[in-house]
Amino acid sequence: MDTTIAVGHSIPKKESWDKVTGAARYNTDFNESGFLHAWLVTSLYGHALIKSVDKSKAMALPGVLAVVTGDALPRLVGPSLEDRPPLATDRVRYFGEPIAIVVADSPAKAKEGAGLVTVEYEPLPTVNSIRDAQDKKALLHEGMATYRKLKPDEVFPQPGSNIANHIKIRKGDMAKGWAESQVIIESVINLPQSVHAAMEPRNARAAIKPDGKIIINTSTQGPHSVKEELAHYFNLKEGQIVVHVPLVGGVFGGKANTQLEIIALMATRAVQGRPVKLIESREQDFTSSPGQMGLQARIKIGADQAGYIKAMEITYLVDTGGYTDNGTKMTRAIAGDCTGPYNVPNVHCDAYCVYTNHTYATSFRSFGRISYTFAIERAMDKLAFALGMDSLEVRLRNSIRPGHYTPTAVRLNYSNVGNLPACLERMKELFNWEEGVRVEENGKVRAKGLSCLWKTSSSPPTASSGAIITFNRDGSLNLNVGAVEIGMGTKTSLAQILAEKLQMDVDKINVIMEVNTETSPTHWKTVASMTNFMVGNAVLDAAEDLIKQLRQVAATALRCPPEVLAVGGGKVYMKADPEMSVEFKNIAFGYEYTDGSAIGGEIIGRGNFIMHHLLPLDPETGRGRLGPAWAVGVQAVEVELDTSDYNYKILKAASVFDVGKVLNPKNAAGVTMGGMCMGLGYGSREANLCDSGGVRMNPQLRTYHLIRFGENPQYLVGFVETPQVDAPYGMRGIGEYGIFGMPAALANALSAAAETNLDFTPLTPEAIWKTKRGDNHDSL
Amino acid sequence: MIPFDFAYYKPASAGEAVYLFHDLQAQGKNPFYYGGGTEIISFSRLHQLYPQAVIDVKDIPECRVLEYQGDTLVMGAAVTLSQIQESNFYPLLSWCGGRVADHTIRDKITLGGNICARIPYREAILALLVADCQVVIEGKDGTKREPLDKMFDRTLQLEPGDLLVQVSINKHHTNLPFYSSKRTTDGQVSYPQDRVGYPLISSAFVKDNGHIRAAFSGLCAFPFRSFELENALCDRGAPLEERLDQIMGLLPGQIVNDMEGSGDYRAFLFRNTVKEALGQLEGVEYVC
Repeated sequence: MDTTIAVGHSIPKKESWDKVTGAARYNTDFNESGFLHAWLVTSLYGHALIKSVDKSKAMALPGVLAVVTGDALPRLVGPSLEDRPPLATDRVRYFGEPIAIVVADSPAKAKEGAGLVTVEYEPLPTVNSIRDAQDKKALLHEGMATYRKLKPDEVFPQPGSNIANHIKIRKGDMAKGWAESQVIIESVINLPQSVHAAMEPRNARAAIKPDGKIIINTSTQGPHSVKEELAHYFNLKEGQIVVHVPLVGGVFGGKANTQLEIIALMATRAVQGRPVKLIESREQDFTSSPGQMGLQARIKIGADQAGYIKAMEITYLVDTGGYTDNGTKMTRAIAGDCTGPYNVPNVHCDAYCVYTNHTYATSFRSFGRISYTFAIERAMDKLAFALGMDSLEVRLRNSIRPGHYTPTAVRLNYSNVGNLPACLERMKELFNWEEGVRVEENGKVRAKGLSCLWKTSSSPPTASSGAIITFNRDGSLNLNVGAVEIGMGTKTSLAQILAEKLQMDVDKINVIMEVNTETSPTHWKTVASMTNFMVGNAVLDAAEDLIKQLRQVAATALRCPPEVLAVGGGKVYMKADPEMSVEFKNIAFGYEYTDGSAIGGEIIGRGNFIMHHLLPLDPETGRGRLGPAWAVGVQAVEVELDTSDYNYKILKAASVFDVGKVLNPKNAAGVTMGGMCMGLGYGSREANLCDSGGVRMNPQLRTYHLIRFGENPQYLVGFVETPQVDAPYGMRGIGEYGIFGMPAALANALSAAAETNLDFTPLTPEAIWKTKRGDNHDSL
Repeated sequence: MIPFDFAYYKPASAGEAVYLFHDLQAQGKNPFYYGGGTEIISFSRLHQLYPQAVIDVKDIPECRVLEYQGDTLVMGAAVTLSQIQESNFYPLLSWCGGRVADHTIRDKITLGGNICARIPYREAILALLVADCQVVIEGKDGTKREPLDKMFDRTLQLEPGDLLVQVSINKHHTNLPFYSSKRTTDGQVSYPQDRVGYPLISSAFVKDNGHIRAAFSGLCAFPFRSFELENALCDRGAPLEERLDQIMGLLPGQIVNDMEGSGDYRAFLFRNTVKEALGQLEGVEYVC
């Protein structure tokens, strides 16, 4: 498809000026007189019974209006399996779990009041690892059998154990696969939980108007899902709830679940609907709100002498913490893509979602792919080593291609899978692969590591999006969609898609930054790298609708049939004679004849999109279709290791993705580099550290190590363009992708450099030193 | 956010500050001297400190000096680590102080605040311990000037209400050949600083007339300089590995073992650090 005017251009994000001047306002920047303030009382134990909660001292503090506990909403919540009390009542299952909320007339009084709520605990044995969970050191959810399943075809809890979900993938004939394998390797990896660490901590405001209307102002990726979930949990009518979302200060998946909105609504109900503002401190954001899942994995690969994979046996154990939230869905998602982007004829995969007394897990940029990719890609390097083959060559040989079948038996073509071999070939050049994987020079070792990656969306089969286009009198347009601007430039990309379709200047398209569930069309959630695909298709549909209407009115104005007209440059013109035209501004609100009478009226474009052909996974075989298409790619990292003390520098990191079509080159590169930075941070230093009682030891930025500005290596980003035919201009979503393979590529590079298997993160110099000494790596 | 109220005082002189301190203490106000405020704020918001009064010493003129007075470098306690780094009057101090926290925070942290902090690392002190410097202290009985060696044992030995006003160093000590390094959980921190973190080991070595002085932070629960250790270090008669073994027995406290790094790894880094420092200062390469 020809793209000329907007798509493929590096249009600056429309919100940039507001952001760089500090004028942009985020949810907690809004203040009104009469706001009340709230502070959470949170668990000091990883696992304990709550014997009592004494509110009296807090209530006696002048300025404190209410102390709300779990009895204010005695039910369980969750997006997949309802297993979580909004405020813990009889038991806490992770350190930091909210127990009560104090509402006061100032933030200081709320915080001071929270310090005065006395909770009496009776500690229980702590399930501090997946091993503890398997050994049933304690059962976290004795009531599991009674929990409500929202999607019975996705969740298979095992009462009497700590397993909240079990997904099976069975493809081909394993006995045949092993029989054809001459080389077999096994690999076990262990990855800790981590935090999202968005710049804007999680927060929410709630109020109830005198007419009963509930106003929620929140920092979320899913305004419409917040509305729907609140209606469900509080037994309200959806139309009674309005959710407002302004610019959001970073999410990384951490604002896709509904948590603080529920608690804020409980709080405002306790103070006659007065507006209540709840902001988590950084420590609470790190411990009370959900984080990234942990993973243990065992991979066994069989291949023939030529390096072609014949069989893969996979076990994934997802550490979902005290509650499931999205843990069950991520377990299913990684099972669906379980082999990585490789053609594996025989697959046996068991993926388990396991409760522990860690922070509960929600979506995290990649929805589990960063974790299982580490497992697969470490195993691929071990396979290459066992075969004596180059690690890129093994990946090239086994690359999944059109004609192959995925683990869930979806047949692939260029449109739905793209071109991984082309990405690998491009990486070869970009990363000077010919030089070799390991080079010793000046007492140091320079080494390179690779990771391939892929992902499909795992959205609900009915996920949908809408778009509305309205005009201003001057002929400029307003684009109204339900996607949230989380910093990725989504709204600008959508404006580009619309500008391209209308062949007009993107500056004449205003995008409405705020989402208001009363007036914005629905969008499932701004997640899963799917926004440009889903909302983009809705925008194109709305543009078609708009064009049809414009041509109709213009046909009257220009006295011709609509079929001979086209749209471009803010005009409708005759294809055969573009001079014969009428400007949008003269027809968008009706066309006025020379005698002053008018026809037509305000033109409003409306469009929608819904997923199609998605199928749940068969519970016994895993056959099914989780998403519309995959995007594939490869990443690489180059390190320089000092073998005297295992200090290392990350010199370079590279990504080559098949993006179908680049909508905005600079933005795509920027989003990719951001993801790479995040992935290198997780690979090299990030981890939630708990003591034996499950108490988090590093819930602060001073002790939780993030990669900092100035530590960045050189970033290289390349794109391959194999169009996805049912996507806007052929694009594939890659918003999350930068992070997927970075920890794996880093581990592969460092394993090559240190000549030992590094099968864990964080890859600190000390951890490498210990591995070299032969110490067992402490499982986190 | 600090969830409680406290009184704020801003005295004009060191004498007035000390007077205020004792007065407020007599009233049971648990006063704190306030320099950059980074520790008071971070501990107070976590309910780990409850000052009812703070005495801001940032604008006391004698605490703000940063200049050579003849051959003596005088640094006020309220000068920030950034200002010291930018002046670069004493390069080794620029290195040690310039790797504390991050740039934004070093714009707040003062020299006196870092030396007198509760945090165990206090890396600015390393450059001072190896420099034979003097400290000026304002107390109940007036101003006194003492050698740092005499005043520092794990912490600066101050009486309640004593205020560190200035540190002074003879020019000779600011120009000695030095070696300084810092290792964190995440690796080597270069200078200018390229990564942020608490030290597993941070070191300062100088060579003066063939004698090597050394101070360390991060290794034990407090910063230290040890004459015994320096003597063993300089015993050039013994092979290096032997000297290192000997030094390991001369540490003034247990090696720290915490989530930032194990004791074993710190010991390993300490030996490497000493080898590297000697290699550079003695002009000899030691092979590990």
